[in-house]
Amino acid sequence: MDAATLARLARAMAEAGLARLELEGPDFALRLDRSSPADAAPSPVPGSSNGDAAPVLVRAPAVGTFLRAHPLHQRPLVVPGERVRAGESLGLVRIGDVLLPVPAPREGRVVAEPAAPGSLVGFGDPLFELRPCAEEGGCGST
Amino acid sequence: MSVGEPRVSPLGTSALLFDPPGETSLETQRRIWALAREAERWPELREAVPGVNNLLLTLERPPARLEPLVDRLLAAWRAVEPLPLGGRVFELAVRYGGEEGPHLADVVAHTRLSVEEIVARHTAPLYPVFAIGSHPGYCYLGGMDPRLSTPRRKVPVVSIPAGSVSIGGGQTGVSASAGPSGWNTIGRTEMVFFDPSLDPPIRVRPGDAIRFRVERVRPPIRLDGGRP
Amino acid sequence: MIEILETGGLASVQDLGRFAAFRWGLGTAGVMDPPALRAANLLLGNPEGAAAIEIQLFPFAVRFEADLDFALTGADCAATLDGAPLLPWSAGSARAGQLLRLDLPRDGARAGCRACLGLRGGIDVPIVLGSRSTQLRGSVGGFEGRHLRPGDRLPVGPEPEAPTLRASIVPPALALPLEVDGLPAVRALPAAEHDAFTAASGAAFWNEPWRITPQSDRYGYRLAGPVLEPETPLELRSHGIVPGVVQVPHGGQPIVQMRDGQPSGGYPKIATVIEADLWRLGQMPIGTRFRFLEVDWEEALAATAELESWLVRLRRVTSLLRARRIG
Repeated sequence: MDAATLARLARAMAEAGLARLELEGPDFALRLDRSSPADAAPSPVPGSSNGDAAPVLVRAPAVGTFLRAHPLHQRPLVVPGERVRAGESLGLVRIGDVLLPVPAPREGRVVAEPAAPGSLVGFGDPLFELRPCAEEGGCGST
Repeated sequence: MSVGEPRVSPLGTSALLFDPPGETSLETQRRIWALAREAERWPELREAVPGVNNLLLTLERPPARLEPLVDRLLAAWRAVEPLPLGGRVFELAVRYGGEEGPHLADVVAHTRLSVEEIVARHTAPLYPVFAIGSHPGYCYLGGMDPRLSTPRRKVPVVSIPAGSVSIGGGQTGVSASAGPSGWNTIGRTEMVFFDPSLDPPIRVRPGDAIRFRVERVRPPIRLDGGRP
Repeated sequence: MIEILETGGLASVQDLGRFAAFRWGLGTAGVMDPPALRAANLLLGNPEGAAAIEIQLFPFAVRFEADLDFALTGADCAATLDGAPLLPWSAGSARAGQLLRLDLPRDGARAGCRACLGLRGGIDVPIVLGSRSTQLRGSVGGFEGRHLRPGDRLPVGPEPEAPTLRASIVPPALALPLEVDGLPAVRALPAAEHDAFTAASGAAFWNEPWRITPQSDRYGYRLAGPVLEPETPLELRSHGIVPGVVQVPHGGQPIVQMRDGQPSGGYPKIATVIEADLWRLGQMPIGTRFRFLEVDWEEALAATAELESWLVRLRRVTSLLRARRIG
């Protein structure tokens, strides 16, 4: 494993939006960690806290094309205003022919979609803004 | 000896069919068996499966060019010595006609032979097993009296039972299990041809032979009120 | 272990097929849509040929008896896990007791008609004569050599090392579309008796649309279209045939041999659908109108390479994504 190979792997990781890459061969084991400024985990939107549960940004899990609907379907997975359960897919990031779901980190209501469908998004880019349900009925009908 | 080169044609990208010219004969079949034994050792082939005077060759993967493989087959064909597969003889008792032989009337109509003559001609030969195919354990037999030849049915039958004895074109055979068939069923017998717990899973093999014996004869029935 | 709760019939355990049993009179069997099986297994971390359930009639429902990852590919059939909708062509995780339900596939050429349900570890039925595929005639392989019934409980094999990738895949119907004059198409090579048909029949075969009749199943697709006639009647000696072979019986309406088709035939063969396109036909529901597209050997190889490179890209992306930090 030489420096050029390592550089190539690092580039491939960046392109694919990978945080860690582990490779194993007959006589080597390699682990590459890419420190990223923003993780895919949800983060509170600064300055939006006003006593209610603060909206969270749901970010892109990888570099790819942002899709609101599965390519087989017309209908978007969610529309703004819709209430979603924790784990429900809000959108998809397409990498090659693989579609990574963007799951809702918690129950809540989709209040905004900052990313345009079909656009190329970077790792950690905000895709959805979700107003969490702090308690039962916390984000019920407005 | 047959004249002319065998025809080798692709069956899509997954197999080739090797088809020598000439009348169907046991002599040609012995060369087919020999070619199969030779070709199944070639790494580019999955299987070399004898049919009736022909050979199916399934490919591991489609080669970039077919010609070298075709040339190799033709060269091997010219070189092979007929393989005299010595085998056992299986005698099968047949109930001819009636409900168990629903197409006997069609064979009578096509051949213009009497039921008695059809049965006599069908039980006379020792039928060599040329090949296995159609369905698990099914034996393609050589040696049928050409006077019994009857075309395959225009519309295949959805299911005929195991043990059905039938004629299709110039061939005869026994169904090893229930299933669809385009052949004319003239009778029924009892025999287990295929058992996946055996190794190999077939009881009758190419090179073996079958003889039919009359268990009983019933008059032919007429389907749909008569001949189509 | 999973339990079959509901089936419309004709669901069976299949892998890629049984490829070395022609000598005993067995056809290949195996899934009608091999890329769908491979995709399901790629998501699950299974070997690509691990056995799965092929579902042809709906609704279909299973209950998970233990926590288990699954992948559903092939027909886009509005699947739900305990009522929660699932993405088509995706992998998910079920907890013990959860119920997976598949409904009628959507209409539309790309929806498909056969679903493939893969399980992490693969369905662990015995390998018989080289394969786990169900060979119905002769009752070989699969689950007791037959179609699945409510109450059947299917075991899974040991877990693979690679983790499940909870993702969806863009199906090959979208990634590798193939149409002629607005109709779905399959590529085919002329077969031995192609030139024994009248010129008009040959032209009609390649230029006219063919409709898949209701008498079409895993054994074969009976097509309806112009009557194809040989120059003179042909009686051929019985010979081996493979899935994809298009035979023309006396009635002049072609039959395409599919995965459960018998391994030999004797009707004149006008063409053979290439292996790389058989999945397209396998996902066309009854009533579909489609076209045959004539190719030569080089074009057939190019089509094979195109499908193979789709798989290579899929393997590459799934393994890269697996290497991501989880959680």
